[in-house]
Amino acid sequence: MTESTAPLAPLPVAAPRRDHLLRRLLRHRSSRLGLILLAGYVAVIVVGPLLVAGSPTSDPHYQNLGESLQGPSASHWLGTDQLGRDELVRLVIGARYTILIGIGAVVAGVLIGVPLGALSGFYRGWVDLLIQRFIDIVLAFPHFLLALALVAVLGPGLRNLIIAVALASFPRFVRLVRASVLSVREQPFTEAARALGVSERRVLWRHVLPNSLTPVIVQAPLELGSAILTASGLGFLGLGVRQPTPEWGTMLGESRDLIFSNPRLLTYPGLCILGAILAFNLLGDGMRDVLDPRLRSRKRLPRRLRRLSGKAGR
Amino acid sequence: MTALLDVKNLRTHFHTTSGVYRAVDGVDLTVHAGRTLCVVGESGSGKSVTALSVMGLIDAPGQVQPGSEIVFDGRDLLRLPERQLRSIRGRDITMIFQEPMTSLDPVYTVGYQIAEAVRAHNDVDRKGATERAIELMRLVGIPSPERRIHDYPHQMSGGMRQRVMIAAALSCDPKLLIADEPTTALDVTIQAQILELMKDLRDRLGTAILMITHDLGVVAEMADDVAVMYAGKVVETGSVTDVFNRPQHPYTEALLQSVPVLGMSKEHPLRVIQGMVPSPLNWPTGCRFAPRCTEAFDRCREELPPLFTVDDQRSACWLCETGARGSAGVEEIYR
Amino acid sequence: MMGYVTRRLLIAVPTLVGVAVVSFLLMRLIPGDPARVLAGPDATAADVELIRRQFGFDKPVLNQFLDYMGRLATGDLGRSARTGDSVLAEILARLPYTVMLAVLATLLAVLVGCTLGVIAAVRREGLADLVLSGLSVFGVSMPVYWVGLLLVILFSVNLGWLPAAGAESWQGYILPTVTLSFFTIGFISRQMRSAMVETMEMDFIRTVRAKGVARWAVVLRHAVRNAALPVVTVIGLQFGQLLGGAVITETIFAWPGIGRLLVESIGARDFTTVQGAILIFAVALILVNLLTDIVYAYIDPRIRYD
Repeated sequence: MTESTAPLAPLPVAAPRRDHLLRRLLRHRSSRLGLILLAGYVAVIVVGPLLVAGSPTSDPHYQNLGESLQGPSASHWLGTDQLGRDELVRLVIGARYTILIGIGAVVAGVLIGVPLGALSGFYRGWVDLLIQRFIDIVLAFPHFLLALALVAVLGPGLRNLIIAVALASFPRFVRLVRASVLSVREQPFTEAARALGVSERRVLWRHVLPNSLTPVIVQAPLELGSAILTASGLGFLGLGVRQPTPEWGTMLGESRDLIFSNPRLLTYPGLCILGAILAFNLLGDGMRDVLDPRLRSRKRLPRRLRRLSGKAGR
Repeated sequence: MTALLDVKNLRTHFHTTSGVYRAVDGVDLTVHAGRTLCVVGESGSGKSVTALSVMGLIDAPGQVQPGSEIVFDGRDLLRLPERQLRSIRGRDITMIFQEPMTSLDPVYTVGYQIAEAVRAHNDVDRKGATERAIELMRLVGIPSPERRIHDYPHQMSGGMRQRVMIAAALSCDPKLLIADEPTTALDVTIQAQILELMKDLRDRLGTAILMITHDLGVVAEMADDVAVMYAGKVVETGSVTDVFNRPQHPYTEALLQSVPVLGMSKEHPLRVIQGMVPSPLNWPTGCRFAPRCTEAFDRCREELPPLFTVDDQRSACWLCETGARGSAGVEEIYR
Repeated sequence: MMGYVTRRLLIAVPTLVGVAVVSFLLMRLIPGDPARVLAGPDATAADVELIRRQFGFDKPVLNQFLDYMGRLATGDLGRSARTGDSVLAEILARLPYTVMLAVLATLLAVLVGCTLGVIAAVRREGLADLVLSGLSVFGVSMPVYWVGLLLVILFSVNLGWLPAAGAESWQGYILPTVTLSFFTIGFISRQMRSAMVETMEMDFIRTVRAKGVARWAVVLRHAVRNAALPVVTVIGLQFGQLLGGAVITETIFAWPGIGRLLVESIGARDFTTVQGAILIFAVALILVNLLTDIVYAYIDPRIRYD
């Protein structure tokens, strides 16, 4: 995965009627806001490095102690940090790490969790029992603390961070897919495929699984937000990426001692992280409203009338 | 005969994102004191929304339209402030619902839920309300009520729960009981028991009943008067004998002929009403039954017929404009 | 109900054992020679050898595992590589602070979150709902460390009202509690809102209204009571999130709890203490979920009388 590719297409899953979905998401108030915010982040990731290329800070190893802790000025719009690096440039470059870690962790979580959930829900029996007990155990650990322990053991660094966050969060995908597969495998078309002599394995991977992924798609943005929250929290504790990578959580953690003298160094990275998590949460809320028929707007008919009129009141 | 409830030109619309859903669109009804009116019609004809409108239980996006009148005991309920309306609701007018399984709060005992109705309108303490609840449960035929007041709804059968609903509805000796398909969700034998109970209570307490049903058997069993609804309007009203024997509206006639009855002769096969009930989002112009009516002519498709008086009945059909329309009543059909 | 509780307890036992296994395996994930890592960078070869024998790294893995489980069974969490003290004693000394913080934050979050959620649901799609829903999305999107730092900047640095660190006075509890409850307030209010909206559409609410019961009583007595059922489960499920937040909160406010012990131990590569602390947090989470299951059973008569 290269760092500068647009990370908007969230998951490697087939999303039927995708532009239809996009249009519906744009109509929904919160997902529209989320998408606009995300577009901003993507723009910063793609265009940002070109704009800051001239600045010496764009080399992460740059230091200039003579210019440390300056306030905002024409040459340093957001001032400089304790090592004299331009804060804005570091924030711009940091965007890619935050998004990359989020997407990396969720993709890894999906790659581990979806197959396990599918096997668990489809074959049931002892496979299910085994996988579910295992998931119970992983879920017994507080999610953030498991990631924390894993990073502590594996050591810091981008790759280990992604692994730790993914390992701590994949059980949720297992649960999600299992529940979905359990209901889809009872659908008539599954029976039909079996009746046509399709092998069990093929029924699972070609028929049941693709139809079980909607909950994963709905959950994905929220998981992205959660992954960024976890990863930046680890960064804050000094357990994230290695120095001097300008990851936002790490930047915040490094500036903690400056809370009395230079609180602005705590404000900017925090705002950036908040914006990213907010964007994914808003998108996730919209996604759930749009894709989950149980949630509704007030402008809909009472339940009894809906039952009678089909989809009239949607 | 005095009119206890007089509904005039009731229109209840729902403003949804896909348009205005005109569930009830000009309903006229009269319930006389101590008598039973059955409102009959297919699903989606607006029966339940009519009942909820009378109760004042229509929530956004639904709205009773201006110009509607619901006169109860001489007062227009639509002009009363919510406070006064609430003191009528549950005391003078009460309602029981179709789904006994879901219509009781699962986390409170049935005794509590009956007592709650008592306490909402009477100045009694908890003990007095509980005693009244036991009394009411005995009245509706629940065995050993002293013990069963401690039961939760999930510990009771559907029939028992419907009895609990009725007990709560009778707590303040209502003048009018609205029953929205009270037996539809029950087993056939239980249905008969509940209908028997309601008839018995009506005769003993003199409560007027507005009963909503799609079951003509229930109508035959319970009704003094009948109102037939189609597409958000009442198309025919009258006493049950008149309407069943001499239906004036083609829809009523078709409805009567679509019900299978033991001993039907082969000369009168079941009749199917062609076509579909139109959508409340888009009622047809003219008579709303015209697209499915075998006797429709040009005027039916252009002008909405008002209710014409035919002897003691009223019928919204252009064929009745100049008096009775020749038709087949139940007796003819099943002879 | 007793059957239900017993069943829950029995399910928790294998999970507890599994948690112990995972915490054992976690330490085996340390790349390279664990004795070398545990001894620290300045250790001599003799030190490393001592540690190796002390921890039994020279024995087969299965033996190490059995030793570990055996010691756990007697409540022995090992000795800290940093201080040489008993890990259990260290944890027990700090436990009250973490428990106090977690309990206060949960209480505050339940109180505020439920209230906001109910108001938003009652004023559904009105101005209050819009504002509250917006605030709760912020609540669940604000990183806990940033909330803490902002509160310190505002109340300690700028206004000077509250201490920025320590648990010496009752004032010291305010900022950590608010910081830790922030996410949970947003989370609970969102859950409560949707549970309330769902409940308010149920048939039995219509029945209660048809009885002529006042609107506030319909909401408080019936809707809130029923909506609370799913929310109780959710509170248990997100308690793990709260514990994670507690680690960060304790670090920010120099709080003498297990969370800060954990972070300090990671920094000092004191893995025995890390292992012990993680284990304690997992046990706490299991217990809280057990508790919420029992509370749920108690407040839902459909389970209580089955």
